Order: sequence, then C-alpha cells, then structure tokens
Amino acid sequence: MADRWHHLSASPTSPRATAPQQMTAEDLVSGGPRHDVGLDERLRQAYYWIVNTAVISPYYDIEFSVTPPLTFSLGDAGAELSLPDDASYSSNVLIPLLTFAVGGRCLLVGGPGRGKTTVAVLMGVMAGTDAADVRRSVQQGQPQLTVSDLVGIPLPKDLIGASRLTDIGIAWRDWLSLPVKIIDEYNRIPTKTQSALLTMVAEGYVESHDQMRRTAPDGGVESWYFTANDDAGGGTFPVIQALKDRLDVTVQAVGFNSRFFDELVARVEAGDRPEDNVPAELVFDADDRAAMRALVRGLPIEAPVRRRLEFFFSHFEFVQHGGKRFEYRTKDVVATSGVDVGSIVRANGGADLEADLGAQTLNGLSVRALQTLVLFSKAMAWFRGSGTVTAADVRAVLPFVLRGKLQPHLDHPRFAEGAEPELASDAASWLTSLWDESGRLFDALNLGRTDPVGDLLHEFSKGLDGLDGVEVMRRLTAIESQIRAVADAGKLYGRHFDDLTALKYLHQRYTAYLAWRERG
Amino acid sequence: MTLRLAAHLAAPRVAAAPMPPFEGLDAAAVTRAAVAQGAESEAFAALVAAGQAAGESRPLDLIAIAAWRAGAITLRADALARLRERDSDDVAAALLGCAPHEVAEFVERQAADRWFMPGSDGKAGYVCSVGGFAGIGGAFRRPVEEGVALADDGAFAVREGPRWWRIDADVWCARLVPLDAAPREASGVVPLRADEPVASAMWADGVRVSLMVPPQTHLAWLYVERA
Repeated sequence: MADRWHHLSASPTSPRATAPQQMTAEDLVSGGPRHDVGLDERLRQAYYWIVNTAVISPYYDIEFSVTPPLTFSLGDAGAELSLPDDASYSSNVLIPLLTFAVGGRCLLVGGPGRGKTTVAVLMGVMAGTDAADVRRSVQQGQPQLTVSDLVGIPLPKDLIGASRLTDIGIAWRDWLSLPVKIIDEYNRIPTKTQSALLTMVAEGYVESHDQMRRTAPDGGVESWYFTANDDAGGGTFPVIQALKDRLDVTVQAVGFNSRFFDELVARVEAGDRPEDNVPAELVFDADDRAAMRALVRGLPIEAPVRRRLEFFFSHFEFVQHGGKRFEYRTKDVVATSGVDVGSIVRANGGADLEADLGAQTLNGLSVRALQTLVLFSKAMAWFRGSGTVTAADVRAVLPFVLRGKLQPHLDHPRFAEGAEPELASDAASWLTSLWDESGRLFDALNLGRTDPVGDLLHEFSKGLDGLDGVEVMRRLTAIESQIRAVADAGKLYGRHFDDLTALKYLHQRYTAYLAWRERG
Repeated sequence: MTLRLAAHLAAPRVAAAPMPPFEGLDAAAVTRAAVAQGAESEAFAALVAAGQAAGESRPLDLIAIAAWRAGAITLRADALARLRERDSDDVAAALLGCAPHEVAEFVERQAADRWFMPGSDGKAGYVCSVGGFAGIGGAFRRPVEEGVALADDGAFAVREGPRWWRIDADVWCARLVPLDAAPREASGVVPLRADEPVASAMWADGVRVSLMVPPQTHLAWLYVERA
C-alpha cells in the first residue's frame, strides 16, 4: 500500500533564483542532497506536508500576488473571491508554524473539531517529542485546574519534615520543559492558575513553595500554543489581560471542507492520526530551532519598509481631546482615566473621522505588539525565501499579530453606519484594510520620497560633537518651520502627533546643546 | 513554421524507449529525480537505454551524463567530471551524439565554453528558446520586454510584465526560475527594434551569447556567435 503520509515536496517549494545548485549522480540515486536542504526549505516542506497531508486545509487566506489578482464578485453581500498568482498560504497552519520558527506564543481560536489541537500537537512532534508524549502533555483547561495541577506538587514527605520552604522538594510536571507547550481551552482556567501560567509565558520560569524551575528547553527556544473557542471575553473565566497581551498571534481555525471528505473516510478506515506519521525530515532538533530563530531575527528590514511601518503605527495613539497638554492627548491617557475612549474620539470635530485611521481604534499599539509584528514579518519573509522583509510580508502577518491588540471602535461610521458591517466580526480583514489604507495615504502624501522629519532625525543621529552655534540655530529654525507647517494646516492627525513629539525632542536636544555650549 | 514552445536545438532526437532497470537501483525513482532536475523524461530513458546498449558498466556515470544531456543543468559539473575520468569514449560518444574521437575535445572545451559542440567553431546560430506562452504550456503570460546578462556564466534575467525570471543555459539545458525582484543589473531599457538582442554577453573568449525576442511569440531565444 502506498505510504500516504510520507510524501514531501521533492522540488524546492520556493525556488531561489540563484545559480543552479550542482548535484551529483549519487544525489539523484539517494533522493537528493538532504544535508543541503536549508532550514527555510524544511519549514516550507513542513507547511506543505501539513496542509496537503496532515490537516487538509484548502483555505488560502494569506495571499501574495505579483500582479493584481483576478477577482470575482459573488453573491449580493459584497463577497469577493480573489485568485492570487504567487504562492499563498493557509493562515491556520502557517501562523502556528511561524510561531514554531520564532519560539513564540500562538492562540488558536475556533469552535470544537476544527483541528486547533491537532495543529498544536503537530508542532510538538516537529520539535522532536514523541507523539504520545505530546498528546499526554497537553494541558486541558478546566474550572478546577489548580496551580499544582499545572506545575507539580510538593513531595508529601518533605511537607511533613521540612522546617523551611526551601527544604520542600517539588515533583515538577514533565511538560514544563518540553519545547512546545500546549494549553487547551485556556479561557476555562481559573484566574489564579492563569497567573502562574503568565509567569511561565512571560518570564520563562515557574515557582512553587519558594522553588523555581526554568521552563525553557535545551537550545532555549520554546513555543506556546493556546486554544480557545472564543477570544472575545467568553469562556468560563475571563483571560487576564497580561496573559492575553503575551500572546503573539491569534489565528482562526477553519472548518472542514466537504470536498475533502474522501480523505476523512480513509483516515477513519485506517485509524490513522497525522501526528503519529510526521516524517523524520520534518523534525527540528534544539540546534535547528535555535538556528532557525537566529536566521529569522537576522533578516533585514530595509528603510522603505520601516518607514511604512512607522507611518502605520503613528495613526493610533493620538486622540485630539485626550488631554490638555499636547503630549497627553492619547487614548491611553483617556483609558487609564476611566473615560470612554470612543466618546472622546467622536468628540473630535477638527479632523475627518472617516479619513482618520486612528478614529477606527480605541487604543494604540504597545511596544510588545510592534516587536512581535517585526519578528513575524521577518519570519514570513524568511519562510518565503526572501532576503529582506517586504511590505507584503508585513501585510500578511499584521492581522494575526494585531488581532485582540488593536481594539476596533465599533461606533465609528465604518462599522456603525452599515458600509462594511462584516468588519465588526472579521478582525483580520479590518486590520488588513487599515494597513492598505495607511499605505494608500503614505503614497498619496509622497512620504516614500520626502520625509523632512526623518531627514532632521537623521541629521541629528550623526552627533552633536563639534557642531557650531550657527548650524544649531539653522537646525532649530528648520524644526520650528516643520512644526509651523503642521500648525498652518489646521487639522491634526495621529501621524502628526509622532512627528511633532519627535520635533520637540530634537528641539530640546539642540536647545540643551546650545545652552551647554554657551555656558562653556 | 514559427516555433511557439520552448525547445533546445541540441535536444536528443531519440526514439522513445522504456527505462531499463539498473541493478541495485530504483530506476523509476532515479528518473523522477532526474526529471525534477529538468531532464526530459523520455530522452533520459532513451539515453540510459542507449548507454547500456553501448556497454556502459558504470551506472552513476550513465545517470549523470544522460541526465545532463537530457536537460538537467544541475548535473553539468558532475557529468563533465565523470567524462574527464573515463578511458573509453564509445559510450560517451553515444550519449553526447558525437564521434568517439571528438569526446575529449568536447570535454576540454566545455570547461570554458558551455555552448561548445564539435564543429561549432566559426558558426553562429540558435541554441535554445525558453519561456513560451503560458496558455499553451509555456511559462510567460506576456512577451518578454526586458532582459539583462547576469554575472554567472550562461545566465540571463528577463522580464515579462511585472515578473522577472532567471535563465541558466548551456549547450544541452535551459532552466527558468522566477525571481523575487528585479536583478541589480536591470536597466529598464527596452530595445526599440525586434531584431536587436535584448541582452548580450561574452562569458568565453570569442563567444558572444545574445538573448533575442522574436516578434509575435512569448519566447526568448539564446543565440550564439563564434569568432
């Protein structure tokens, strides 16, 4: 009988456009020079094996296209099916796989029976753990789950004889040191146990009775997979915000496509499970995982893409009526004061709410979210075999990184007045549309070519040593001129807020330098 | 007749033959591996059969040379190394399609001039075409609009619409792979006349290789002129 599990892509899954790598007849006979298959190629093989063989996921929602894709309007509710012309991917497999590559934390959401746990278990097996051990180590969230259930128990004999807490030995649970950790239905875990989980996720250690144990495995790369049937506050216990904030990406599990029913029948008949059949070539040992993470981190993001990212981030923190002092006009100031951010956003009569991307959100982006976006953009580019991160890579991962982190302002006209009501329930599409709209604005403002604030920052980054007073005065005048240009425009948006704050910073640095110079 | 599909002038003209068995080797798996490297399946099988009929006793030599001759450019270096080490030229001649006394010259000249075939000195002509219209089995959706010679021997990059492709070719083979971005060498200059080369290079002394785009096709031709 043909082995239906062990088929890997024989040809490179993303051919690199370099000189052809020479092979020998021995390579042809032995099935190819396996040692030359790079980690990125192996990860692509893993992706294709999972989507085509293991979980059967024909949903290609992460699209890449060289030319504008052919699109079809379907139905009478604005549905559109697009056919991209470059390799595109299933998010519910690729995002967990990128999490595996970077040693991150992934939340899989979706109803029961949609392959959430299966995907997570496959990641565990790919990290070299036996399939049965991975299944056994899955922590099932339930309302009675205690910290001891999760981490281990103090040895009873020590409890009786110990005179100090440090004398108590702890029987730690084995799963704590596994490279892939899986928490099923994490929104059913009691709050106190969630806090213990948070320490593990955030700090990489666990504590019990004054004893500490590191949770990072050999090589230092650990990935976490959480599953939930809801990420909007449902579940038995609300998930504590700090834990939620530690989750790097959130991905929606998808339903089974009925056209692949034959495969399902074949599995029932054979009694097979994909995790028991992961090909050996797709197992990444500790060194592989450490090398993979280092390669991802080392991938450059060139200046034009950074500038687009900066511009995107700049929209969200500012809110015109958030405070009196200029620096305090932020959503965070409003939210931490217990005032309704939406009402403050709506009070802004000075800017066009529909044109202001910042008006669509109730919060800004945390530094952690930005770092995660950078890391996953790099991972996406690396996975695609690219030598640098492109705007398309950022666009592809952005909705999964920012889901749950950038909160939609549902009273904004875009959601509330029926133009695109589907966006209220489809966070991924909304977040992608924010990136696209930000990109259009960036191009319309010609910011890719002219960036006076960037030029001033660049000038400053060369240092102040030896700068004479006349040059400092010239720069101060240039800074004031930029501030005046914004002031004269009348309307104020988030993108101006970051620019103005940076200009004030520059002004202050030059002013202080000038004062120091005059004193000396 | 206008050529519409990618083809190599020197493609082996062999009668289809079943893949003969190799002792101790999985012939079907070897064929799949050779095809994955760009060898034409029937040509590979026929060449292997021809080599065995000519008395070849070293299967790895036969596989390497037949795969290269059938279009697998990644086997070029291995095939040339094996040809260099051989004592008998009869089998090699059968595989290469030349006379036995020409094999040594072929191997020696190929080291510097990947387009060389015995008798090709002083001649000029078409070597191969690549691409072709995607709708009839080719690779390109639009005609080639721009091309540049790359630094690597035998390599060009061409643009059709927004896409760039890399071509690696030699006397037997042509490999075409998509590029992620325009190569550094891209100039944006589109030739004004259809009969002018889109790009030219001299990787070997006295051998000019030109990339031509004939009108009304989606092909890119490689054309070699020798001093």
